[in-house]
Amino acid sequence: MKTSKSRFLIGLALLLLGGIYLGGRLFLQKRHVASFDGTITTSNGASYYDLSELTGTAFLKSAKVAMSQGLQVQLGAATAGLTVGNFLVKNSQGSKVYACEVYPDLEITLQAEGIAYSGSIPTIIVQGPCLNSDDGQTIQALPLPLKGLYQNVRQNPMWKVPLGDRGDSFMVSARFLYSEWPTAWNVVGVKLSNDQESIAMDGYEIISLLDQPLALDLSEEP
Amino acid sequence: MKKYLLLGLLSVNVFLACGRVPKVGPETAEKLATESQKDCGFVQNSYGQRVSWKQSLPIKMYIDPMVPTEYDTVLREAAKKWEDVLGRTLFVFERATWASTPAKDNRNIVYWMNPWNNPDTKLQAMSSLSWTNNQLVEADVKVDAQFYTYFVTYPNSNTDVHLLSLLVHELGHVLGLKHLANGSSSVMLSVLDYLVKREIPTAEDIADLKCEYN
Repeated sequence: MKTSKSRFLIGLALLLLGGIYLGGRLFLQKRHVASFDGTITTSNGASYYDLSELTGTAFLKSAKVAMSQGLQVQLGAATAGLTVGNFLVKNSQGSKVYACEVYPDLEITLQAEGIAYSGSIPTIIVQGPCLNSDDGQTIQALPLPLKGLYQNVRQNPMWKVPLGDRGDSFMVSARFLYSEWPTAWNVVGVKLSNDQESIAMDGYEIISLLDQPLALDLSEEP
Repeated sequence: MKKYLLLGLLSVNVFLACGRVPKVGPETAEKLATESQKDCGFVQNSYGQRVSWKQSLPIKMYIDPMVPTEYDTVLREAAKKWEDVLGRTLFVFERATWASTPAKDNRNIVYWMNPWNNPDTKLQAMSSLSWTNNQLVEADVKVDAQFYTYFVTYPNSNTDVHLLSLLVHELGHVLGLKHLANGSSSVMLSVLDYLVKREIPTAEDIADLKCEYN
């Protein structure tokens, strides 16, 4: 009887351990990102991603990792936007500069969560200037005005939105939007570009880096 | 008692091991991650999984009272074109006994829209799909009865649209298929010109459907 009880308890413990192991592997394992080859400098609690010595795919992949580190939804009084991680690159003179100097254009692509019309998922594309945040750690969000957003993107194929008080602006366009305004939108693209080249991160890469889709709530303000 | 404890523990383990936590696909030379499944012509969720009805077939579709009853047979014929591909029933149609307007109501409904109520008047029809995770949960088909006229056997004018071809296409969307690029003769091409008959799923359509539903 005693032996049987011991066996039972050992079996129980093994099963539990097995379950925790499998569960941990499937649920808790963070994706190992082996694709960051730059250096990270920490100064006054802030981290700077230095990719200035990288080229080719090592640069591209490391840039995406750096961009993902600053991906954060920014909610304003009646706006929603997305900051992007910043990094350091070499410009044509060989100087170390922030990414926006070499890649002045920022594009964010959003897709509605869980709906499609005639096989196409509603999509919003936000295109504007790449601007450093004050501390240089992130690239500033392009804040989408939530009030009247649906009407504005439906009525204007390229809706121009003022940005700040220095005459800057950004453009918003939408596709596959019909009768219903989806409120939940996933970030499926973040692109930094210049006339010659771009660094484009898609939704799958974002999920792999953040372990889940990055979503924006674009409910209109009442 | 021990048996029940063991069974309970096993169930927890199986749940933990088989929990449906979606994953994206592997890293490649160029990308940090890829879609989790090949699209096979299907709409994909944010993880790149194909969205479909999975095991929830056949799809029960209501026919709105505004749809002329003489078109019920055309709808069933359109369904059969897809069903013949898989050799099983994919759709069950029933006339709705209530009038409704398109909405997210957990019902799959075919509407005959007059007025069309859509600013895009170039559309002959539109199918809307809703899903949770990778499981389709609702599909509505809206046919534009304001700006288009349809024919079943012979057209009455040069601007008539072949209804069967249109419905085969829309039911393809209901199954989860998206538009195919030009260059093939697929029933899932995005444009159906006046008078054109294109109601037989091609080898490409068949391969796509079987990729997900077989």
